[in-house]
Amino acid sequence: MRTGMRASARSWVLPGLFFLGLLLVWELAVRTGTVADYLLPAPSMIGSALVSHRWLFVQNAWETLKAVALGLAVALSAGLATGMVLFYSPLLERMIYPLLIISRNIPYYAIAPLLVVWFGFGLWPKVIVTALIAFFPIAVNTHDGLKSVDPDFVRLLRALGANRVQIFVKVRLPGALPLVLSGVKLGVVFAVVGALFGELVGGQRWTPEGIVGGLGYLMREAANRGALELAFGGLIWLSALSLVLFGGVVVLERYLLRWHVQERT
Amino acid sequence: MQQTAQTHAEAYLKLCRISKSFAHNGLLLPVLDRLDLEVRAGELVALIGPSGCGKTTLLHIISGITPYDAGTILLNGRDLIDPHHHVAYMQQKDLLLPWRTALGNTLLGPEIAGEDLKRAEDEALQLFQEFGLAGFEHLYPAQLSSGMRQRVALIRTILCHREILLLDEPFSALDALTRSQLHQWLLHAWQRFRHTIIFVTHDVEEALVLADRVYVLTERPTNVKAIVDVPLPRPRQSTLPEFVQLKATLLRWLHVERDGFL
Ligand SMILES: Nc1ncnc2c1ncn2[C@@H]1O[C@H](COP(=O)(O)OP(=O)(O)OP(=O)(O)O)[C@@H](O)[C@H]1O
Ligand SMILES: [Mg+2]
Repeated sequence: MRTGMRASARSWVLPGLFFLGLLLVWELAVRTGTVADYLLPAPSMIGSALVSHRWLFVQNAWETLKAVALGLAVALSAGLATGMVLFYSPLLERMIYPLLIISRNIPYYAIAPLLVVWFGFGLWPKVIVTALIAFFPIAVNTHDGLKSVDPDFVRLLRALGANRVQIFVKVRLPGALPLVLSGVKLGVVFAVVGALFGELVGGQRWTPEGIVGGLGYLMREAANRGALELAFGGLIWLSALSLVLFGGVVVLERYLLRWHVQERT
Repeated sequence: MQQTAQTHAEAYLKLCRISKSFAHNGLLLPVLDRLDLEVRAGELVALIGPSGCGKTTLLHIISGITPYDAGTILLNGRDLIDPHHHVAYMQQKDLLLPWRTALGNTLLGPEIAGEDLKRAEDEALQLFQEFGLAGFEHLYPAQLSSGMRQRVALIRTILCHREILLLDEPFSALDALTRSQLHQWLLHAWQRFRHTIIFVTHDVEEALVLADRVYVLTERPTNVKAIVDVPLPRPRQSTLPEFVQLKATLLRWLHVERDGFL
């Protein structure tokens, strides 16, 4: 365990150095005027924008996080429920599952402008896009996960006299978990992108302190006004948000699937 | 322990003229054909027969997993209507749930039956000790050797607290050394808990080491070819003349079947 952690820390030394090198080249390219700073701000300019406008970023990141969290909550409950219903009802499965597979390839981001027309600006159109695109991987993987459970396990439980609820709780759910969680991981990544799209086309909200529209809205407005260091700052915050959410699910997965991880090693 | 055939004892579990066919692409495949089987209380009976003759199907029928076409199954002279209250079935695959620890797997039966879990756990820990698994209670199945997994599955079967154990080639995937060790453990548990056991095997020697009586089955459609008593004291030495003689008898019965005369 210890040595494993040390080894993985060591494996980050080289990529880290390379990244620092890139930043340095970038900084120098802007400082020497090779690249105009109104087209590409230097890392130091982005850094100072991150510090001086920190409350702007925090406020907008919070706005984005709300959309992502609400959207994910909707996608999770609807996705898990749909996956289970399709698994337990062969009729609905035959009717809906093929459509689900096909329609998960539709670029739902594209309906963001329509949602603005239907629902106006504000939080809810963003939540809807987010929920819509995060829904599909979760629903499909929940169904597939339940299907993947070894029927011999189910038979074993039946022979022990287990009822349907016991079979679900003790066998189907844990057996489906690896696939469900990889669906949730996809869902989280999709959700951030969904919220971003919602914010790029609409999503601003008027508050006493000014307009708050989330990181996507901030990036759009900053780019329109030539404040590229703010747009880059928004990008960094957005990436961080996505990574933290994804990392959270990975940590959860490590814990819930500790038997699975050990099986792989 | 002296074990001799008690020919006049009452049958505890009795199968009368059990028939079973499976539908195969529109054709009916008769598997069991009016098969009779009698097991006395506390007896260890081995079933031996050609591959595909329906041994697993027979255990499925007794445990209630598979319905049968005709015949009756009696327990203590009464129809066996609720097999899962009386029968615990251990398959050839250990079927340990990978997301449960070894201990968690053995507690499955008591959990489902809603028994007192603290007591079941104490009992399980005791059995882990006796089966040489102390210290492995909290490992996951993937971290255990196949012999250990088989022992865990056996403990799980015992902890179901049923009078009858059906064991379907439980040790066939193991090496000879592990297997003979498991035989001793099984006999130990059997003598302690006084289970009635039906043990399916392909291995003549295994049948003779364990069983009070050995049922030799025919090819499909399956019936009983012979019933061989094993009146040897345990532990049994496979080098003793009586043992060798019984082995020859069993092999003869099996080969008569394979060569197709008689
Ligand atoms: N669910 C089923 N549907 C159709 N046919 C079946 C089914 N289960 C078993 N059979 C058939 O019944 C026959 C007996 O199978 P069974 O598994 O009981 O044999 P077995 O004696 O246990 O064989 P082995 O020694 O190889 O384990 C086989 O021909 C098999 O194809
Ligand atoms: Mg079999």
